[in-house]
Order: sequence, then structure tokens, then C-alpha cells
Amino acid sequence: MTAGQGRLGRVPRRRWTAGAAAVSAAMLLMAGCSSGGSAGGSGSGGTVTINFWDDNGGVRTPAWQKIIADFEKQNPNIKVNYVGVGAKDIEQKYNTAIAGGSPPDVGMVSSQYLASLVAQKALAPLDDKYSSSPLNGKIDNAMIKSARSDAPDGKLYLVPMTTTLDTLYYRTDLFKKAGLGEPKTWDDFFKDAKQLTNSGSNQFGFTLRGGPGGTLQLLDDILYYAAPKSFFDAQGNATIGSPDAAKVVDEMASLYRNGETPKADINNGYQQMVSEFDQGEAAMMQHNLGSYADHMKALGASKFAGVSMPIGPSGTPVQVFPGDNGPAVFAKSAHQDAAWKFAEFAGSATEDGYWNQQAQQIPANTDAQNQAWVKKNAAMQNTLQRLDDPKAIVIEDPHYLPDFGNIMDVDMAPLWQKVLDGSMSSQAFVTKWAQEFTTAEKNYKSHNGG
Amino acid sequence: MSVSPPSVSIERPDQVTAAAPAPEPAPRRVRPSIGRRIALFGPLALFILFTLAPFYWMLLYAVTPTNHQGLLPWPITGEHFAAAWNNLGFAFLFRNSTLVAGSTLVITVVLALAAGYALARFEFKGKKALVLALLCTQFVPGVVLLIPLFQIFKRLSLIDNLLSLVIADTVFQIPLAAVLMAGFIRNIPVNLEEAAMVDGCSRLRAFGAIMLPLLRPAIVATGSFAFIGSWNNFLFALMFMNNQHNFTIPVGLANLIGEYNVDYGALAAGGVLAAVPLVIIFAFVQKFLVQGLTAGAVKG
Repeated sequence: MTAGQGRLGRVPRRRWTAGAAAVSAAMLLMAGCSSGGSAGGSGSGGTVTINFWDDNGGVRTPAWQKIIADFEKQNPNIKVNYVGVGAKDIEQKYNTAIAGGSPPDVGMVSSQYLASLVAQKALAPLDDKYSSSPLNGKIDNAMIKSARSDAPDGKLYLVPMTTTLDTLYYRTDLFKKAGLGEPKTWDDFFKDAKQLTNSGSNQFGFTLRGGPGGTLQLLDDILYYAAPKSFFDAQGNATIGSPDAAKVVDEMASLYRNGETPKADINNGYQQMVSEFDQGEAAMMQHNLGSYADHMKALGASKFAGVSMPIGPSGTPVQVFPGDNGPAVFAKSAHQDAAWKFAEFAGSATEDGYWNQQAQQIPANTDAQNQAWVKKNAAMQNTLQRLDDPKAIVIEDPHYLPDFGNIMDVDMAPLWQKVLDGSMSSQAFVTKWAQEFTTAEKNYKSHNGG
Repeated sequence: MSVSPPSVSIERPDQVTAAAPAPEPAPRRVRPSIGRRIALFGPLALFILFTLAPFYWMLLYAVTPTNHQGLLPWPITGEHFAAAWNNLGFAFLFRNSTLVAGSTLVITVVLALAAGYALARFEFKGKKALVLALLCTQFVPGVVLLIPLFQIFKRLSLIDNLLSLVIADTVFQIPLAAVLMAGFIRNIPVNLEEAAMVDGCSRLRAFGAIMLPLLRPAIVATGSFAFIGSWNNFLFALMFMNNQHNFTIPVGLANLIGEYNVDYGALAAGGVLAAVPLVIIFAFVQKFLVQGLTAGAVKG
């Protein structure tokens, strides 16, 4: 028994020591398993590594890998560490990294949150670099203007690389069968939607986006229909509360209430909408050029077409400009020149053209806009013509407002569903919407001057 | 001269029963009526349908070609698995998730055993407040601590290092694991330990020899929670890692959801691959898990 006690006293200590050692070893292993530190750095032989964050990682990753390979070939002293982040998560990742003091050297930034990054002093102004760059004069004027207007101080913080414009897609085969032509005006649109509806055979004139992202499309519809000269008037009041605005909202809601769109559309997001159009359930769909490739894949060129959004009763064409997307250099980067070099390279005609061809979006580089693949894309040509039309009003949603997302997704999205189910009037809806934007604009101006 | 010990035969209860007179025939089983069977199995079938339908959907998308229509998984293709494994770099994601979740499990269980033992067996000042504080940490969402954690890890040069994920995940798993473990330990009579110590065991030895085997279900239960919590953690992996090769499975899968395009096939295949380790683990530990959860739930 005594011997046993002695054995009992020794063994567990060894076991526990072994256990603790195993845990410590596991932790040390973990520490050794990954590279430490996120900031880019200088390697041996003068090689600089810059961190590049892509704001739509995954599907766009192969295109960036090719651009990075081209860049590194031309600049053997600069290595690019690519980090692809999902489109929904990039803003939070930027904000966390900025607050934590470890932003990337260069990252794709979109108009939607450019103002927020500039307000945090996270980005380096690029005006001087751009003015002495070969890119100067080669980037679409509307895009440069938009990039500057999206920043509270009017400076250039990103190299515009791409944009996408609203497009009305329609099923050419169904239109032809019904003896209808291209829907050019809102009158055409509403009449065609009615004529092409046969709910008995599950055929609807239009697929409406009542769920996520629906208010953004509706806001643009108001601007296309009512054609105000600007989003805010001289006094800073939003122009989207007019009777014309209420009328188009009412007409859109009537499409739903009259059964000219599927009943489930009240909760439709992007995927459901595309699915209804591509599977032949809906004859028309509103989106942007981003879904062109999906329709081409599902339907083929002979069964659909994409055109600019219809013209309202005033007869004035409108093009809502959704803002830019492009590389921005971060102020904390220790390798600003290398980061700029990469941004400049990505904006060149060859690389910008290649990237946009993969994404089926509009290149910002005007030389890239003349590439053969752009000419072949009828929907892109159509929307570009509207953008360049001297008679057209080019108007931009106020993405720069910090409250923009809240107003659209939190405040107005549930009310839009109320309008759809008939429990709120269209006029009350647009009045509230206009008031919210007016208040947000005034708050923004009181904080940022102007 | 050896004396053979007297043979002692102790009859086991079943042997006694066998020797006893034949029991009366069991009463005939009455088959439940159709109505009763529907009442019994209907809700169960409905429950299984609701539980398994999303998994079937995922499997269907994973094994059938893109644009496949219909509810039957035919024709079958492996293209989505190949896409998830090769294009997404699933090998890296899988390795990282396994390392992080495995380490979190080990550290959480070891620390929860120690903390739970202290909470269950010792009286000390502020014990109730400590338990309350531990429980209150469960109300704090990870996103609130994101920036402080980021800054701490940055000072420790642990940004873009998997160790930061192990630490952050462990920090979030320990409070609940410790409280659960304390409940399990409290249910084991202290007399068992005292008896071992009377026989000469140290407290540590008594814990190792007596308590640990009895706590096996508890270890499995808390370990499973820690593993699953860490395996599914998306936020920390997204925020603390700045290198594609350090991302974990949830981040890799999220990257398949583009602004305008979603690769549903690869997403579903990735989901299947991500679920496989969890299913295997549960298949092995389910007995202990049920025991552990029952003990904790009823007597905790």
C-alpha cells in the first residue's frame, strides 16, 4: 500500500506536466504556423512588399492575380500581397484596421464608403500624383468628377477603375411575340408590363425588388422618372418628395398589387430577381451591367437585351451615376510610392480593360472603353451613350452621407414594403424619404462645412 | 501441500432468474392505432424534414452541375468540390480551421477544468460575483471587443497570426465552459475525492484518478462547444488575418459570395467539406455529449 501511494504521488505530476507541455507546444506551433505582422515591409535586396486588399474577393480574385503577376514582372522590386475580402465585409475590415492602426498599403475603395474613410483621415490624397501621371486625361471625366465629389474635401483619393450603370433588361423573344418594341419611356414600361402578364401561366411583366437593395433601385427610378436637376436643391432640400416621385412609386407598387409581378417579389433580393428573369417568369428586370454575364449565360444573346432606363414624362434623359470603385493609397502606408505605382498600373488601359472585361463592367480608362469587348456589349454601349448624351442629366445618389445606408436599409426598406402591401401612401413615403435625406444632408454640411 | 480455496459461487441475478420457475408469458403487444402512430411520428417526421431539408439542399447543389433543376441528385459531378478545394484553397482553410479549433478545444477544456473545479469545490470571497461576471461576458458580442483585441494583438505582433484566433476564441469560450464544468463537478459527490485523499492521494491525484474519468461526458460537452464555436467563428478570422493563406473556412466560404455573383455550387461543396469533421466528431462523441448535457441541464 505504501509503495502504491508512492507511485500514485509521482505519476500524475508527470502527466500534468506532459499535458501542460503539450498545450504550450500547440500554442507555440500555432505561433510558428503563420507569418506575423500585417504591414508590408522591405525585404532583402531592396524588395518592397505592399499589402493590397480587394473589396470583392472570391470571384474577382483570378483577375487580380493576373494583374499582380503583370505588375510584379514589370516591377521586380515590388511584391504585392493580395488579400481578397467579401464585398459585404470590406468596410468593417477597413474600419477595424484603421482603428487598430494597421490598414493596408493600397485597397479597392468604393464611393459608398469613401467619405467615411476620408473622414477618418485614412487615405492619402492623390491629386498631385495623378496630375503628373500618364493616367491624367485618360480617365473618364464623369468618374473623376464623381470620385472628387464623393470626398468631403473635394480631393481625389482613388483612381477610378470601374463603374456600372443601371440597365433595364427585357426578354426580346417575349416582346417580339407580343408585338412590342424596346421600352423607351416609363409609359412604355408600365404598358408593356401589363401586356406581358399572364398570371395564369406564371408569366409576369416585371420582377420587382421588394427586399434587400430594393430601395436603392426605387430611389433611382424616382430620379429617372421625375428628372430633377440635382438630388438636393439650392437650400439643401432633397428633391425626391415631389408629386412625380410619388407617382412613379405608386405605379411601381401598383405593378405588384395588380399581380404584374410575382407575389413573392415583396421580399425579393438580387438573386431571386435574376432567377425569375433568367428562368422566363418575368419579362423585364431592372439592375445594372453587373448581371449582364449571368443573363448571357442563362439566356444567350438572342433572348434578351439591356437598355438605358426609361425616360420620364419631361422627356429629359437621366443617368444616375452610382459612383466609382478603384484603388486608394492609405495614408499610413510606409510604401506610398510603391502603392501608387500599383494603383496607377491597375488603372492603365490594358489592366483596367482586362479587369472590367472579366467583371463585365465599364472601364474608367477611356482607351479601355474603346476596346473590342466593350463595343460588342450592346447593353454597355447603350448605357455609355446615355452617360455621354449632352442632353442627359447625370445625377448621383448621395452615397457620401454617413446616414445613407441607414436611411435606405433600416428606415425606408420596411416602409417600401408597406407601400407595396397598400398600408402606406406613396406620397407619405416619398415625403418621409425626402425629409430624412434633407436632415442627413444638413447634418453632414454642419460637420463638414459647405 | 496446497490447499485449494473453497469454491464460492455467487449467483448473478440473471442466473437466479434463469433457475426460477418460468415467468408468466409477457402480455401481447398491442399495436398502436394509426391515429396514435400519426400523432407520435408525424411531428417527428416534420421535425426531421425541417432539420434535414437544408442539408439535402446543400448536398444537392454540391453534387449536381450548375443550373441543375429538379430535386433528385442526378447527374452527379465533382466539379464543385474540385473548385472549392483548388480555387478557394480549401486545403489551407481546412488546415487553419483545424489548428485553431483544435487548440481552442484543448486550452479551453484544460482551463475550464481548473476554473470549474475551483468554483465547485472552494469557497472564496466574491465567488458569486465572479460566476455572475463570467455569465455576463456571454452578453457581450464579439464585435464590441474587436478593436481592443485588434490593438492588443497588434502590440503583441499577433495580427495575421493564427495564435491570435486561438487566444480570442478561447477567451470567448472559457466563461461558459467554466460555469458548465463547475455544474458537472458539483454533481460528483465530494466524498469520492475525500475517500481517495484518505487513502493517500494528493488533491491533484484524486482529481486525475477519480474525477477526470467521471467528467468525461462533461469534457466532451464543453470541448464540443468550444470546438464548434471556434470552427464557425467568422469575425475574428476576417479581422485579424491579412493573408489569404491564414484565413479559415468561414472566411473562405464568405468570399464566394460576390457583389453580383454567388458561386452556389462551390459554396455548397465548401459547406459540405466544412461540415464533415463536425459530423464525424459528433458521431463519435454523441453518447457522451447527451450524457454530459443531461447531467449539466438537470442537476446543474
